[in-house]
Amino acid sequence: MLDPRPQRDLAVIVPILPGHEADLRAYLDAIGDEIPTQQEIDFRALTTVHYLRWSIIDARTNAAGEPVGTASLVLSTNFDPPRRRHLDELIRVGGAALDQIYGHCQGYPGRSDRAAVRKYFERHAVRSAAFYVGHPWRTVQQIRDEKALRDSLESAADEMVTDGSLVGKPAAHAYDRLRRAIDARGFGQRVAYTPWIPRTRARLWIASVAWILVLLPLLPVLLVIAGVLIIKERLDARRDDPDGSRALAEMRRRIGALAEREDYLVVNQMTLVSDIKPGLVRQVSLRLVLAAINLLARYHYNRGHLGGIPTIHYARWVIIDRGRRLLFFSNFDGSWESYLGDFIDKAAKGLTGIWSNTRGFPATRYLVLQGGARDEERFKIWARAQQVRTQVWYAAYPDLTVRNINNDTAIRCGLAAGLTGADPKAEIERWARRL
Amino acid sequence: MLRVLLGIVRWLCPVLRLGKRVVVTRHADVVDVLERQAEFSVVAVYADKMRETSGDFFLGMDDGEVYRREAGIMRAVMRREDLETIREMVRARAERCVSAARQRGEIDAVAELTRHVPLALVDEYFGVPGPTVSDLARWLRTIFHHLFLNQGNEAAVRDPALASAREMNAYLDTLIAERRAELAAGSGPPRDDLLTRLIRRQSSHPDACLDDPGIRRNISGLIIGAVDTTSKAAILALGVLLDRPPALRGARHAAVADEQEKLLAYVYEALRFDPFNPIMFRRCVAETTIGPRGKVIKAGADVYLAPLAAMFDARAFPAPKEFRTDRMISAYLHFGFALHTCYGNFINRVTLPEILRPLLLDPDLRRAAGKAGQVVMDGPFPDKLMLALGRRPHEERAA
Repeated sequence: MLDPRPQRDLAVIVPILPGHEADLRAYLDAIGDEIPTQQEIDFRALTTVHYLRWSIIDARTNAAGEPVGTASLVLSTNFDPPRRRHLDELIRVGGAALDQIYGHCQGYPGRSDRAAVRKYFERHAVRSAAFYVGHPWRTVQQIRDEKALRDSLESAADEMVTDGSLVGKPAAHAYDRLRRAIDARGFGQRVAYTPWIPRTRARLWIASVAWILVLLPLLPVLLVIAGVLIIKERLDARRDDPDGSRALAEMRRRIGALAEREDYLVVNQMTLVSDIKPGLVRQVSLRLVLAAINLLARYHYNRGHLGGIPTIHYARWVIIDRGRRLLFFSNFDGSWESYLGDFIDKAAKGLTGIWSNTRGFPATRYLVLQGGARDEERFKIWARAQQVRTQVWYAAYPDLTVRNINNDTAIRCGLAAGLTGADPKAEIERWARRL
Repeated sequence: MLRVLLGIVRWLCPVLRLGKRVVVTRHADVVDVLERQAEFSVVAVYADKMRETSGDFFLGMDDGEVYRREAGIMRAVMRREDLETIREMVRARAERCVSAARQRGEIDAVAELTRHVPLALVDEYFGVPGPTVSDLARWLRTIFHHLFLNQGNEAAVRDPALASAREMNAYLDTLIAERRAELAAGSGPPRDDLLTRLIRRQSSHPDACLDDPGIRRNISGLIIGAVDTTSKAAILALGVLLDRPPALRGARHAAVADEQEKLLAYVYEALRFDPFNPIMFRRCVAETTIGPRGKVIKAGADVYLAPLAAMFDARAFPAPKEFRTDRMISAYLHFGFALHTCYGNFINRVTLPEILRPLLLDPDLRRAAGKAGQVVMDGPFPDKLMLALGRRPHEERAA
């Protein structure tokens, strides 16, 4: 079955050697501060990478708040398959910098044996529990080509407007001339990409029915789980920092360091690490919710928005530490504030369904129906408190929003096949408005 | 037949591995391999044969300093304005060829037109007349056959090619020396062909020019690919048009109205159904993968790219079975893509439709009766195709 999201995800999590964390942090910060110009890794040479980040996450703490094990280094990428080619490229382009970085980590074999490094990454790769992409189907090359195509179209259109040759001519005439101008500039192969909107509604139905059939016999168990969750939430709410004061203090401590890496590009990033509440019931409910979201992301929300939010480049949830912690990665357009605002307005149930299973999340009542993410102030404070600094963050097309990317694709599709539908005039006008 | 077979392969297994051989059939993968020229090399395929015949030629080199230098010089001596000159040359010559045959009521489209006109262009535009036209024609055909179409390196193809190469290289050395002497003395007719430009460049741009052996290598590289390729492409496109009456009528309308872009669209779309280059070759130099599924390709594998299948891939060519003239010209893979796109890519857009135009103007154009109306091949090249002509071209009748 063809996955309608050929953009794939990778998270490689390795333990850092004891005592090496500070050095590693300093080295990664030096790279991260100057992504475009630094000499260590030539990120522009990466052809398979949409996004890449390195974050250091602290060691897990036990119930008494003491660290267990060491801190870990997380490498997270969104890449064009196949994974093997992606890893080979990463190792080649990463060069000596990879040795510098992973020299601080446990079990790294060294770059002299490339196949061993690839196996090292593969061994430490962790599967995502859920993965959403706002611009599925397209490779990095395609997104860049479609941007170049739009730029070229705009300049050709500008020329035609300036020399007045379009005055009084119908839209079809302009469309035809633009198409020829693009052809003359040699874009033929560049408009020949696969149309991206996948026809997968049927698969969503098939998958949903299959799920229901599997879950139906388990209905009594699910009801029990729901009941236990409702009671647990009530109890947790009493125990867990009821007025939010602890989280507030935490936020003040962290917020300064985080905002440094935000709001200076069109696209921003965030990494959250949350402790999953103990108990089998939480494990089951978290995994069920993430599986459902993954299914929806794959077959339903594959047209550029997630639950009505059109600004998410991608969102990923990864369960680590044998079910003890939940990692969340995301890239989004605009500011942190508005991103979370969108989430609260449009996807509060989904958020609550996931994160109510983690510590410190605003208390809910009746599962996802009340409280949780709708408690805006507490939710934002909580989110800040979960956030970890991303040491290195690379985006292949940092000046394009999700809307830009999807719009560029629609423009390209309109040129590729020629607009010859039932009502070409309306089609052309619709197309022209996208420019 | 091949197209149907490749279509099935594309559907079942877009990157098909057969031992050391790999067949690539999806449009996106073909384009991808052509772009990844560092991993999929042309050198391993063509360089040895080029060396033993014409000498190194930039289209047979991987990207590098020599490639960039020589390709840069060759692109500099060819100018965009030349295309109009070429159009006039080809149009005049092709019209003369067809009107000369008209009285007989039939024409051998290959000998009298599609091979004849490019040979004339090699003389007038490239500057190489040949000792006799038939010698030149023989050299170019035998060498091309060995260079590009002798995968098995068979002696029956190789030996005549090597003999031709010896003769042609000696001839070109003499020609270059004579031409230079002529230019220095100011004798001879005024010339502005590519050979002359390359010789003049030696004194006008001493730091960005080719020496004499360099001129010989590059000029021979160009003319080897200029004649039988053009002829074959023209005959194949004509064959498709002749077998599709609605398309033939459309092409005739475009020819009569002298709509150059439209006529080009007819010719290129026709060629898609019977491409001159159904399969291209590359060799994988280091282990890598092709396609989103990551089919692993070992170093040393022979990679067969199938433009024939790629140009029927509905993802890139919507409604592939329809004959459509609204496709983008630059989308066709007739002349390759990326670094090693045919040097004649833009010239072909002029020569192919102009060579066929006087035939298409004829409202009574059809294949000659019986076997004569089918193409006779000489190895991989069309050698003869008899067509019946009407008494007058369209314009005269209308007048």
